[in-house]
Amino acid sequence: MSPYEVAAAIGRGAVVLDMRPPRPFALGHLPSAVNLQFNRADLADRAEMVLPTDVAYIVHAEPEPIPKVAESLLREAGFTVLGHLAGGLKGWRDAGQPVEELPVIDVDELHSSAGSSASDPGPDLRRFLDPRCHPL
Amino acid sequence: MIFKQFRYEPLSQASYLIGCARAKEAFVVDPIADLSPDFYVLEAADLGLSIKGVLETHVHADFVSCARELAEMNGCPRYLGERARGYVRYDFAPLGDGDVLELGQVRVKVIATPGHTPEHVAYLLTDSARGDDPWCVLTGDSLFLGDVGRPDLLVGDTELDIMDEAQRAESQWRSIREKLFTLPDHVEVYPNHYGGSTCGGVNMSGKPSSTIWFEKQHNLALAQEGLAAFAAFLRETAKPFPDDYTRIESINLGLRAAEPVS
Repeated sequence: MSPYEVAAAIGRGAVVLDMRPPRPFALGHLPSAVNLQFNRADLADRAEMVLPTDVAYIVHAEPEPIPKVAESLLREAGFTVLGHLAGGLKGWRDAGQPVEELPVIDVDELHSSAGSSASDPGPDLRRFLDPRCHPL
Repeated sequence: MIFKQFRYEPLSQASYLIGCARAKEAFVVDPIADLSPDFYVLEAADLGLSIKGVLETHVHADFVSCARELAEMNGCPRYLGERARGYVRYDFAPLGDGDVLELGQVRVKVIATPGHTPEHVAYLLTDSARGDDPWCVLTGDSLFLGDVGRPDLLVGDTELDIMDEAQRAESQWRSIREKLFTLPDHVEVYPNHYGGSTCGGVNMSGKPSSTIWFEKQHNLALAQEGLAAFAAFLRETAKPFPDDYTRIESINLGLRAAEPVS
């Protein structure tokens, strides 16, 4: 699916499943995309646990052949998959489509920035909470 | 460190996936077209890793490489020893002796090991998540188990083959004895070939890993007394040339296109 087709499908209620690792997802993803990491072993099982079946999905994974394999695994598990984003995130950006970011912090960064004494509260972690999941 | 060895049995060839579980990034080393670029992409994805580099120990003569395709698919560099400049007909990221590539908590140190080919390098891996000592070395076609990479696979073009068989044998002898054999004894050895591969002689072990200490004690080729005996030993214990090696090496040098397998 071209970026325009994907954008139109999102407008009609389709949900984008972003199957890339967490770091690239955090650095930029399609608006309202859900991060569900790919692997062949248990993608279908995890999808069945967390995804509703009455929604149409679009796969975003890079590079080929990951999106094609992901599509077929989800279809075999009974999900409605409209297709996958052609050209990846670069194609999406090049088409002038909006990109969302999500601040993330890993264990090392958290450890090195944490307060060293009881009176130092360390970093304000509230900025790492997704307001869609954790209303502030 | 995530470390996977992929064995392609018809050619007794080993390629590798090295990754950092925390950085979620990976390098692929010496990928073989017979397994396909898709194979490596899916193996990395199964582990949640993005491929950030494709490394080759040398320009191969016995199998078609898929390093170019894999690097293009992932938008990442293709690395090769810097001495390949001038005689390969494509762009690559050059690696010099002592260069270090970082992969999260994994360090990949380049050791120039000319011999089998002039541009040959080995990759010494350290996993700082476990300890600061080097853990294993990917020796390509320099140090094999029980044997060494043959010095006589020349494509027949003296302009391209800047070292002849005698120079390669001497370089191989020096690279292994003066560089690889000065690594700590505990370091594990993972070669590009094992057993029946025609890139080594009749004494290659079918076992796909060893240690520096064990090869120092028990490698028949390197147990020869001196360079002349070593070179003679390699000639006497050589296998037939690899099938079609002139054509395959020409493809890997970028001198001709790979033909689709019928």
